[in-house]
Amino acid sequence: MTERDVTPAWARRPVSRRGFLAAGAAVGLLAACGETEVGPQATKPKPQGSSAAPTEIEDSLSIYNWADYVHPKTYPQFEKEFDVKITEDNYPSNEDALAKLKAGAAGYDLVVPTGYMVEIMAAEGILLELDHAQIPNLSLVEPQFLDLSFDPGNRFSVPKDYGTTGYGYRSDLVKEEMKSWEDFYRLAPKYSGRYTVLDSPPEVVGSALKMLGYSYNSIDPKEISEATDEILKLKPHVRQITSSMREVMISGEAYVSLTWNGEIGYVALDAPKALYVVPEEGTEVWTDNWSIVAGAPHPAAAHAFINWALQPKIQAQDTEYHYYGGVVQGEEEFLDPAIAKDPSVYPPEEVMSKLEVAQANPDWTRLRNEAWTKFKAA
Amino acid sequence: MIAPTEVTLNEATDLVLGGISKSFGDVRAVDSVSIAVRRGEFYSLLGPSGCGKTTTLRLIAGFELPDAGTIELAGEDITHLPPNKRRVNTVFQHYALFPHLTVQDNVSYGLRQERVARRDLEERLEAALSTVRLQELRHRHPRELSGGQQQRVALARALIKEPTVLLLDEPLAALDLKLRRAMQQELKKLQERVGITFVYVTHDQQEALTLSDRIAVMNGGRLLQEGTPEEIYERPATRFVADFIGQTNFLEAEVEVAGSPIVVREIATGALLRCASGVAVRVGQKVSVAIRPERIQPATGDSLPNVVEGRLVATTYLGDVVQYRVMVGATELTVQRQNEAEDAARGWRTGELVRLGWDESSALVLIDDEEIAGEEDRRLIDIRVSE
Amino acid sequence: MGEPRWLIAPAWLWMVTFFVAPLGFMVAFSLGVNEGFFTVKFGLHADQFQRLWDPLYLNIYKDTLVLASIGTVGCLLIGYPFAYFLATRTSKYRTLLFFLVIVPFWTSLLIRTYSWVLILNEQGPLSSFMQTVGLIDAPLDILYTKGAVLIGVIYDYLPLMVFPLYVAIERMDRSLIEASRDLGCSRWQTFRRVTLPLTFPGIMTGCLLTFIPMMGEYVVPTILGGAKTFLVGSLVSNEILTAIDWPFGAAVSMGLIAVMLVLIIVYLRVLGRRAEEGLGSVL
Repeated sequence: MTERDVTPAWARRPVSRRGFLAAGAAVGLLAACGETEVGPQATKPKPQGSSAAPTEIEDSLSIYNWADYVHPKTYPQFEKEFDVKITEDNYPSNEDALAKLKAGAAGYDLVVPTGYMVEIMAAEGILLELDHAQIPNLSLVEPQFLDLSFDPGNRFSVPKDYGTTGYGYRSDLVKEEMKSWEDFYRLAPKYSGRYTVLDSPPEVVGSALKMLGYSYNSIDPKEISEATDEILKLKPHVRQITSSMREVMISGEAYVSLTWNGEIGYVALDAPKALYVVPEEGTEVWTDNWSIVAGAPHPAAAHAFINWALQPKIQAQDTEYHYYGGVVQGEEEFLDPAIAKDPSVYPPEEVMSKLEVAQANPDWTRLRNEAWTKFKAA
Repeated sequence: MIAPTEVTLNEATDLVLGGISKSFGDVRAVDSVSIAVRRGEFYSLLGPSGCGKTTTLRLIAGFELPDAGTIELAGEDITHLPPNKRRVNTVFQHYALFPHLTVQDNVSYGLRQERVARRDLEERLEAALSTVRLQELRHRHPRELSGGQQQRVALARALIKEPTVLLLDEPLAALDLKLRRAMQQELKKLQERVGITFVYVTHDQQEALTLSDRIAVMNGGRLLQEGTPEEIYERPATRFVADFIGQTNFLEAEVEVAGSPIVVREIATGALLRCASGVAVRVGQKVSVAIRPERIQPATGDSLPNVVEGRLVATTYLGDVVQYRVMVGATELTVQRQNEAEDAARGWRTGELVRLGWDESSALVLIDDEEIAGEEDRRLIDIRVSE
Repeated sequence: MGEPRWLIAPAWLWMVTFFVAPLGFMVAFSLGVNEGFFTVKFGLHADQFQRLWDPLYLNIYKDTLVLASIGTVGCLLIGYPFAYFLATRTSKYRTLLFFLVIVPFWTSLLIRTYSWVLILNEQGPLSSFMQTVGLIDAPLDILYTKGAVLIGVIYDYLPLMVFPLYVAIERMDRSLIEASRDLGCSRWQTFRRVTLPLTFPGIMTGCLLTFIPMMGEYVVPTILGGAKTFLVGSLVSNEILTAIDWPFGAAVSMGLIAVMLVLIIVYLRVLGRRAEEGLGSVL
């Protein structure tokens, strides 16, 4: 990796993508990566930037997003190029965004649901069907991220980035080499009180299901019950149930964290011995997606933004910021080679083939939440 | 000496304060006060508000600790004992009855933690309630009682403890005048009946004169005079005492003859006045001469040793007495006469010159408080008086 | 006779809009069944309450009651001496002390709670101080435990305990204490027989005012308890926002309301007419 900003981690990005607080403005992370010149002439394969935009778009855009989920330069660049004023609100979880939008939160144009939530939101009628004619850059997206089960034909969503749910560990504090969910659960008693897990039911329950050899999306009560027993055994060794584990991993208060890959990529900036594991048994792969809210006041600007954000250079810029892999072809040309080759950001093909995409439905959610209540109340 | 600092121990004394002082910040609330209260005595601390009488009482009760001096109760040094270890009890100015307890629980309050046998406790409760005639109201709460009844509960609550000395802090001040007069008599009788020593704080000179065996007059934290009501009234030791107890005329004068009688020269008119002896003075000393208004007579012949002339300024009829105000030089004298038809003063007209006279024994020579207290303390006294 | 009825219409409108209607929604939801995301079948179903009867959920109520009780007692034990001290100071210091109690209230609850993460952290100042002094020989391990949650709720709700106690103590006639001492009682006896009974309405009010929000607390267990201490408030939040099971979330809330109602009835029974006084003095 090239020389990094030496600002302490907490001063840069205090809260995770799925954290509780909307983070304040983050300062530039890529100070030493060179001025990534962003302009229409620098792109290849030929993207269709501003030229493809409809002649008339609205002058503002309201985005409902996870906190701290785009590079600080991204919005200003779009604002300058299109003369559009962007405002952003944040939410801490897919379910929270769903509840707020369903309850009638108005005025938002764009939202960033995870795959399974696209399905739910579309079914609830709170997403606008996309006009693909206004998103020509969709053709740049790698086929493996298109036409997924949660949104056949990408009627309601366009992928933004993708990641995996695994765990990170501090290899300087944990003696053993960790490779699997089995390692994760087995070593918990030894490093009792040094574990954190995401404050989110599907990921935690899913980890146990995968360790037991079941599907991440199991809705078999018996399998769920076995998984529940596993997480109940884990509970006494958990220090914190939180989606904001960066700080404690960096400080070494926590050694092992069940989380998403980008979080550990971030931790590794300050704790280079922090390693991310995509467990051998397999795990969840997810994509976060751009969707337009039904009744969006600025649909043309929203389409224009989605299209613009699919440019490889913009994708690369965001990836270097949040350490989640981009979804378009040609991104690696603009990427820091260390990140481009990082298997935790871009898992190799044989790993990818073992991963599952979450498929939510009411039973799936209910079973996971019942297990979750037992886990938390234990 | 004006203030009796020596303590007489030849009689049975219940309470002895030896030179106690107490300051709050810069204010000397009590300044070297020494008193000895005899067994069974009704002893009053009298003075204007802020004179230190209540602080003295609180020092005796133990709510405050003195900066200097000692307090002895029945021969035992109690100076540093907490209130609950002193065999004194207090009747508070606003009674301080426990609002959450009934009359009988208030009265028996002080016996509960004493491990008094149940039967004994009942007996003493009955006795205390009947002493103050509250048997009928025993189940009431304080808020359901009149002021006089509350006052009696406060008394019973303190008396049931059979204290060596009962402290009363202006116990009648909250009552209206008529009830106050009635309660004064009741208190006096009660004290005679139970035979407990009372130390009674009041600012009401009439009350002190009526009830007390002896009175200590205080001002500015100091004890000015201690004596029986008659002594205090007839022979006030200082100008302040004379002024505070009853009404008094003052004439400024200078000592001419320090003998018996004392002869002084009134400064404004130059008149020579013959005064009662008994005060240590020296020739040339500036003094005040105090004459009670009722002791001044119209001077018709040469029968009186002291005669002055003045102009009648005003006449006020007060029913059984008539008050005349006469300017003698720069001093206004108040003259009080019984309203009798044949009184010589009846013929006086406003604006005319009249002649006033009095007996030698009616004119008291007083050394000014300033001379007693000294410069520094005079200011304190001024402050106190102005309150 | 009397004023025309429409004069109280605004009051009714306000009550209905902000109390009756939301409560009505909650009752309606709690009697419904979840049939998928946001698809609720309304009716008169007891399903949610039957589910609530499961030991899993009853235990959460029990844990919440225990935590709120200990928290309330903690507030009382700290708040009473503090309020007493405050009420018996001269006015100059009293203003300053009162100011110090109120100032944290101007700060967001979230920030006040997060500040405890910094204090209780195992690498934080309290930990290093205690190790330096020799009170503990390993780093302080209290953050993300029930102990930390207790510290947090006691800290957050202490002012709600102090205010009614302060009012009660301040209003008490000081000469009653002297009277008791005068009648032979020690300081402790005086406290027990005079001060305590006379400030009892303040104690009850303070306890009610701290206990009720503690029962619904969910910020503190999430932040200081590392989300491992699961209270009824957290359960409601989880059911509504994560499980998207509004009927059950509503039923859990109804259970909480029932517990509170019982407590308020007890409060009114015990204090009778003095209750109005007690609450009135604070509100």
